[in-house]
Amino acid sequence: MIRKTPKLFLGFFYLKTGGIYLSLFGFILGWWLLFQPVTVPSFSSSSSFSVMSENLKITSFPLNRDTVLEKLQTIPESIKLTTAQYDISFSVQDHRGNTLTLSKPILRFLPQTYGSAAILMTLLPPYQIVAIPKAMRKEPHIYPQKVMEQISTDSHRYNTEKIYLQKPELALVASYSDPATLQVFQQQKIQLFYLDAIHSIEDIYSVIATLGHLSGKPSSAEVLIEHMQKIFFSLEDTLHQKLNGKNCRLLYLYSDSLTIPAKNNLSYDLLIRLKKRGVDVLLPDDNISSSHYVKVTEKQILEFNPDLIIISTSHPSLADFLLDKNPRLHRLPAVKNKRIYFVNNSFQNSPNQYITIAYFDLIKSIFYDLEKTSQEVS
Amino acid sequence: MKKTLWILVFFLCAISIVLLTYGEAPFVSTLLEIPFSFHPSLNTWNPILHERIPRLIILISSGASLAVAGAVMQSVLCNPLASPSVLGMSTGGAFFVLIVFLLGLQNIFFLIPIGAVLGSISALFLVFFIARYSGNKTTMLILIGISISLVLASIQGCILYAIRENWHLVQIITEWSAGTTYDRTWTHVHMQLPLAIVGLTGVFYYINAMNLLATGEDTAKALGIDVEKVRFLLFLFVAFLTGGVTAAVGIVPFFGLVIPHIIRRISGPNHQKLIPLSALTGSCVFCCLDFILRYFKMYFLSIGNLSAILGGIFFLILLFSQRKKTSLA
Repeated sequence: MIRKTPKLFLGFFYLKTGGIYLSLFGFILGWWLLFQPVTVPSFSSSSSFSVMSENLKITSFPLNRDTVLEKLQTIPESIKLTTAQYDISFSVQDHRGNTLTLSKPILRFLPQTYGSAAILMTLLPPYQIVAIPKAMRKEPHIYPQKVMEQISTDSHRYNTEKIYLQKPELALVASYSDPATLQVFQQQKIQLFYLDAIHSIEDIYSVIATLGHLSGKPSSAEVLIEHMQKIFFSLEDTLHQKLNGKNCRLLYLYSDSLTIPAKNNLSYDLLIRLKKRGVDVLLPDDNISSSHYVKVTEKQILEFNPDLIIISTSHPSLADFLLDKNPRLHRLPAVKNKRIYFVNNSFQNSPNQYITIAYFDLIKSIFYDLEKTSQEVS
Repeated sequence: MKKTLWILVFFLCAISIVLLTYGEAPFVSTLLEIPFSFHPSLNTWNPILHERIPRLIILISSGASLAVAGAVMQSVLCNPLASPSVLGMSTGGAFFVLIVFLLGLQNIFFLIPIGAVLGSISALFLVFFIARYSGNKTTMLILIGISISLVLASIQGCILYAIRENWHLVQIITEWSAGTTYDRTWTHVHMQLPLAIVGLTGVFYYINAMNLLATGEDTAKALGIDVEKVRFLLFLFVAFLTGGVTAAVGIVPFFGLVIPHIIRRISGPNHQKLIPLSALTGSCVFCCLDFILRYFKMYFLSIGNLSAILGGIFFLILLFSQRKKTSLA
């Protein structure tokens, strides 16, 4: 049998100098083990983990609760006001209905969702955030790049050991998180907190408030919510003044197909807000709006006859493709008069404070269109 | 034979040591911390004990399971291009797991593995049930198996199309079906290892019967083999092996086809050599694939993807070299 074996496959092993290979393997293994950093294990978690951190060259941020607390003590009093300690224990419910009871704030967070990561980056210093979703790093136009650079780890499943070494206390996960990863977190004694049902602006406020409580910074969270509310109020107030009783029919489309946002979509909530402020928006019926997107037909759009079209896209050239695919839309006055505006898709569904920019984009398009119309009239 | 087996065992030990030592957490200190991980007041999770060892067990048993399952299918169906997917077992397992995901039960543990095993066995029973009314010949079994596989794959496609707006779910199903060895825990070992042990023991028990079956159904019958019973039991063992892999790793295409095909060329058709060599080679290659992915940080690929790419290319090379040899002769 051995003689039949092609040299290409197993010939390497058939040489009679097996001892040489065995020694070579022993040497490689020895070399491998030699270069593994050796640390002495200890029951005192702080010393053990700090030694590990040196080996991994993660010295830019502390790795355990004690060192985070130490660092917090160096913060000036004026900022410390927002890092309140709890006098009594309190309970918070996650989006699955699980109750988490806390007697002290969480100091090391592992956000697995965009929403929670972005909010925590605003509320907390970077060393309290263990990792962020990898895809967030590809969107420096939304999320603060300097902060992201200080958080070196990605909250991805291939980083289980790296995350374990940084000892997070609470993982902010979603129902769609990988079950195996969630099980590993539970085994690592990381508490799971589900935060994934963010379908409206109110949901975002609620998540910010929850994260504020969890991190011991309820006042910072309140300030952030208030700031968002003021932005919305200010934008809507200006819109009200600009509209001044004028009729404005708005069609909001996605660039890949003739679809409009549905009930579980954050853009839907923004459009509802616009509708309440006097903008006539094409929205799906309540009884069929349970998903994220709903298809509309050319006929429906022609009947609606929008004054302006806002297309949510990652690239404006896709919109041309959409219009080419649906030639009947060229009959619309909005298309004929080039009253088509583009908004950045990545902001439009931000389940965090950056949703304010999405709203700003929408209102800016309406302002621009109103100005264009008034110039044409004059 | 013995020498080859020892070489493979040696290689498997070597790659196992490499896999156990390689990782973010330093090896020696983590190894020394293992006793402390049993301390109730400390964090009980240890990278070696709870991540690397279970993953290694899964890699070894998955590689062996897939290679042996492929070898059995190729022998019993007398077709060197057969694999567990021929009788719809892989697709059946994947289909049931998809249902678990659709019902939102994926976080209830053991339901994914149970779904995978049940799916594999259900697909096998369905194929046998239909084949019973069609003469139960090998050719009919293969054709019915391929049809069932195609139907199940089409239904899966329809379901994925229907839920395309729920991109979170589509993403997690895609990730699972690509076959992955990340975040494997003792739970996965508990689900797969018993199935692998039962499946492999069963196959080893019927090695002589497989040798007789390879001579043809009529000859085997004449030599006193209950062909239908042996064939069904072997397929059942293959369902255990395939279901176990689908549960622990996901879908790994081509592996069950290529490894036994190569080993058959090297060792010949004698199952007493073919089965153990396939099991060991399968384990070694599967461990190597995992190490390649980790060492080169190829996070954009899963072990299922890598197996499909390398297996497909290697298989094409084998086919063309065979054709060249035939034409020269």
